[in-house]
This record gives sequence, structure tokens and C-alpha cells, in this order.
Amino acid sequence: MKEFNLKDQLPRVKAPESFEEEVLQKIRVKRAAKKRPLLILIRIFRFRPLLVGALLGILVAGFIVIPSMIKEKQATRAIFSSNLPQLVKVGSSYLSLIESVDFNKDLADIPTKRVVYILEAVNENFISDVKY
Amino acid sequence: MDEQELIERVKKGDEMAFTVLMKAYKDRLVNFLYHSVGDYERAVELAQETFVRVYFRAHQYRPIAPLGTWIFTIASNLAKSEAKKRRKINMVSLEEVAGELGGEGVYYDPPSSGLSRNLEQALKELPAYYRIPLLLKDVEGFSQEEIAKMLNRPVGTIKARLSRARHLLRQKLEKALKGETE
Repeated sequence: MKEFNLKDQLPRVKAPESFEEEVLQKIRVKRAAKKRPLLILIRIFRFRPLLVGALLGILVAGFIVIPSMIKEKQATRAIFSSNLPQLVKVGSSYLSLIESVDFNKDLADIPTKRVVYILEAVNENFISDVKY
Repeated sequence: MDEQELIERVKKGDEMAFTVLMKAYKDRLVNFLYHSVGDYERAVELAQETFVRVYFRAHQYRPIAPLGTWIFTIASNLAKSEAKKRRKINMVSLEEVAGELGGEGVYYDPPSSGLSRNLEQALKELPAYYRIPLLLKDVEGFSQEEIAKMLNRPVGTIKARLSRARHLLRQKLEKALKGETE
């Protein structure tokens, strides 16, 4: 079999006339798409005072307001969750000063949005149950 | 203006220099990609994608190799990816494509002789890892070392693939010619 020459024997195709213009158009589209995130950044940068304010707000909320609220809540919870009365030593015996009371269980059955009056005995000589 | 000067200007975003570069390579690229993927329209798209990549990656080009080698490396990678994609989908026959390409405004020279037609068909039947090095060597005229760099394979592998590709092509042609004479 005789040798074949690929270059001469294979049919040749050419690029269409609009080839260059189409490539340049694709480049422009791609360049615009690449610039889009940059434009967004520039727009964001314009509103930097607002952004700084928002950031400061978040920081203040994150480091001051929220922790203090959490602390307050924890302190309240600690008082109510403790069943032991606070004791003060008087001579050889202990005197109960404050007895923590948790009304959560007592109020659980009461429907919401109702005013509840808690009546406690203020006279130490007269012991009575808590009424509400 | 030589190619190094052109690419330096392209790096600076000079569209005129880029157009000159495209004019110099577009037909070779479209022809190479057409024989690599067997679809004219896809070949044109891939050639355009090659130039888009050349434009955006011009700063990556180092003048250690000729510019043509670099451009064909990008095109070869695209051709390889396309071949992988096409392996998974049904392909349109080259005859159908040639028929479609016969229309107005398409820059296609239909094969004049039976040998050309058979050669084109035989080439299409070769796996991409044989077809692409063969086209780069025998049609585009790159050296084996350049092809090895382009395809990121050892020179020995390229030599073996070229030899095997020619052998397979010869077998397929002989088979086709026998079929014609019977």
C-alpha cells in the first residue's frame, strides 16, 4: 500500500469570517462578568460609614449587651434553682434569712395572660401558706 | 511584528495585537479541532474558547517555547476534554456533518477523492489519544518533543502512540479500500 500524507489528503476547514469579532465579543462578556464582583465591592465601599456603624452595633451587641443579659438570666436562674436557704450564723445556730422560692411549678397550671397576685405573709409570728 | 512582541502587547490588553494573533492561528486551530472532534461548529467554538483563554492567560505565557506550541497546548486540552465528553454521548456521523457543512457560509472543503474520504473516516474512528498526537505531528508539523510537552506525556509514550496510530490508520484504510473494490 502506498504511503499516505495526512496533511495533503485530509480536507481542510477554515474559520468563519466573523471568528475574530465573536472571540472579542466573548472576551468582553467574560471581562464584564469578572468585573461584577469588583463593582459590588466598590458599591459596598461607598456605604462604608453605614457598614462601620452596623459592625460596631454587632460588636456592642455581641460583647456587652448580650453577655450582660445572659449573666442576669443566669443569676436569676441560680437563685430559683437553689433549694437551699441562705444561712447566716448567729451564735451557735443558723438563721434562715432568705428562702428561695420557685413559683414556676405552682403557676404552670394557670392560663397565660392573666394577672396573678401572690399574697405572702409578712408577719413572722403568723405563718400561713402562700396564696395566689 | 514578531510573535513575542504580539503576546507582550496582548498581555497589556491590546485588542489589535490579539486580532493579528487570531488571524495567524485561527484556520490552523479550527482545522486541528475539526479533525480532533469531528464537528465543525464545535471546532469553531473550541477554537474561540482557546483564544479567550489565550487572552486571559497571556500573562502565564513564558517564552521558553514557541507561542504556537502554547496555543496548541490549550487547544489540545480542550480537544481531549471534548473527546471525553463525546465518548459518553451519541455522536453524529461525519457524513451527516459533511452534508450539513455543504451549506452556504461554511468554510469546508469536502474530500475530493475516495482516499481522502476514507482517511477522514479512519481518523475519526481512532481513539483521541492516538488521533490528537497524530494530527499534531502529521498535520500541524510539531516535533515529538513538543507534542510530549503539549500533552504532558513522556516522549517515549508519544512515539509509541504515533507509531500505533499510523499502524491502525493504515489497517483501517486497507479495510476500507478492500470494501470499495469488492
